[in-house]
Amino acid sequence: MREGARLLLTVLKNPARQAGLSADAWSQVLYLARACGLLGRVAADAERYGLLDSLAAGVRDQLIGARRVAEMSRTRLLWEMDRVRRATLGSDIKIVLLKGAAYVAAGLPCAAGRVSSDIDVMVGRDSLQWLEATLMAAGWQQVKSSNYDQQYYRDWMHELPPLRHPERNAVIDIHHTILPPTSRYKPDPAKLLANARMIDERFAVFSDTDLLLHSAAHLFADGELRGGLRDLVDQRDLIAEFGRDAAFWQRLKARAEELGLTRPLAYSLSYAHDLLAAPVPAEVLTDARRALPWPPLRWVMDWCVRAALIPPHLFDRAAGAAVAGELLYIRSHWLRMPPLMLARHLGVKVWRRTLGSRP
Amino acid sequence: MGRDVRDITRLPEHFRALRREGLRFRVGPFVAHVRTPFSRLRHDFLETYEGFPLASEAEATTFHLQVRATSPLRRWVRPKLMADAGFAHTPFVPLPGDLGMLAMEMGLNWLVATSSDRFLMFHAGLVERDGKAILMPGASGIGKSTLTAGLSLSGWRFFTDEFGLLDPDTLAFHPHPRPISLKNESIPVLAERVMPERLSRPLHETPKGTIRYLKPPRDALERMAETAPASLILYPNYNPNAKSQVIELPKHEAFAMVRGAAVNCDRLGETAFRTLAALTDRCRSFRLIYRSLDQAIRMVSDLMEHAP
Repeated sequence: MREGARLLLTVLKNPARQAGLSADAWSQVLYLARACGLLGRVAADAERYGLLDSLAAGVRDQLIGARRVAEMSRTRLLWEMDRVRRATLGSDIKIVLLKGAAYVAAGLPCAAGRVSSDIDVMVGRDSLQWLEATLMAAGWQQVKSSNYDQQYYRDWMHELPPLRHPERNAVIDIHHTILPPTSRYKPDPAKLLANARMIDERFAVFSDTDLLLHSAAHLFADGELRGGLRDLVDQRDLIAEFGRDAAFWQRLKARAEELGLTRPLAYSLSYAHDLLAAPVPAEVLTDARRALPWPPLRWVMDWCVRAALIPPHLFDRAAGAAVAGELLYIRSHWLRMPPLMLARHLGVKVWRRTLGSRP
Repeated sequence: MGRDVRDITRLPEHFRALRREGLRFRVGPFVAHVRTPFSRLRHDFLETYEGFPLASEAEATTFHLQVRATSPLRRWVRPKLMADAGFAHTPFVPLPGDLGMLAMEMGLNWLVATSSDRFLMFHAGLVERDGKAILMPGASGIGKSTLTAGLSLSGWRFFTDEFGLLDPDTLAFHPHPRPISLKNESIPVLAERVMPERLSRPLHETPKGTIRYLKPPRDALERMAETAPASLILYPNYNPNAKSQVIELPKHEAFAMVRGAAVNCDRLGETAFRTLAALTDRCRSFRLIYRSLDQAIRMVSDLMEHAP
């Protein structure tokens, strides 16, 4: 692993170490933290540890800026929740907040300094049309105009095409499950919804086990992992928060099996532990790792994850990271859809890219 | 600043460094680290940035930027280059190999605009005299750069022709003295006022027409760490066919106008709102309609008496 990446992991593991960083080390940490969407987090850590005033002016400036941006992001999320609440007054359908919105609403530590560009929510499949129509009646508009995109989302995705509110320029993604229906992994959305905990008369958040499993599934079974360190930081924080209750680990194991997410969870616990020092009990880790793939594949995956989770610095030679990134990109699509469908989808993408037209 | 901090020069070691490890230099509160393999660009860059202070080892880098070939082939055959800041979503476009300086400047501008939220940032020219900063917001092409450059050659200290950086805590502006981008008709107006070596070679057929970069004056570079309190807000409007006049804006209008010039309001939220209110409270705002640069300079001089 490169020096810059190691430095970033060091200050994420132990924020007190920020105090001893040289200017050159900060140059790398600030660049990589920004590239990973973690600058707000580094700033929040500096503030929590009372380090902000002791840092060099140039470093402090960047962290103060990042802190303001994160505060604004949080305000914006809370306001969007308020607007959704208002638009859906008079119904009794439970709307589950996902990711950043959930962390803010539930007051979890990983909300600190976290910047979200969109708000993500989930409802049962039978409430999808109602929520989309209700929001559109309240002023939200479709972002994706092409028929192919609209149809693609509706047929194959775990979310509707995004909606945007033109006045606030805020995007909402409405999910009916947490992974594409075509994915190798098929967690039952009804089970996720059933355990979600109400936080007010409108919104709910997933249960503790499901918050972690969702983040793990998102990072290790859906995305391309490139620059995905922020999700792993979320997972580390969720582990540290919920793991204090000894009963959590047993529930987590049972739930992962119930939802068919043991392998994404194994990756999550392993990397959160190895890279970010997440407090995972040794026997839990050993047990979870049984769900990892057979060794040669495991080694390839390990090399890819370590190379791609943190992008290379702009001025580094980075052939390895590029190869890892491509492999993970292919893997993400492989997990996402069956081969024939993948061929068709990539065909349309290539067609668009070469001809610039929209079928 | 002590003399142990060296400046950018046209020496071969800096020419080489630009290709290899890159050059790190200071622009006001920021440290930029730039790199490029293109020798034409390295030559242009050293000429235009000569005299900028190199960053010391004790200063962290704020922005990283490289200007690279769009593909290995385009490094040598009909060269095509583009700025690269390493992030996924950047708006940079490929440019012909001759326009490297434009790619570099646009790249640095984008980095300043998107990642300096320590400051409330205005799309504006900015100069200072007698410790008073004058903010001159305005869209591209209405004479903002020309007037900023003209004032900088007539006794005002040059801060920026692009980014007014306001510290929300102190209401002081920070200098950001970069090369002034002169476009089309404004080039001859300023060419007759400066020594020819202060202007870069012309870049023809850019997306904005012909561009020449004017090097910031010496004192702007030497005093780039000296801030100045916000004192006056002017909206320049060059119009050779109109009657020249100065119109004061009422406070509510002044607030709306200066809000429109602030680039990062959406990211600063409440901080931005409070800072804009304090700025409008403190400074009087005027619209300035003028027919020639000399006339505008006299008008600004007269308005200085309204600066607190």
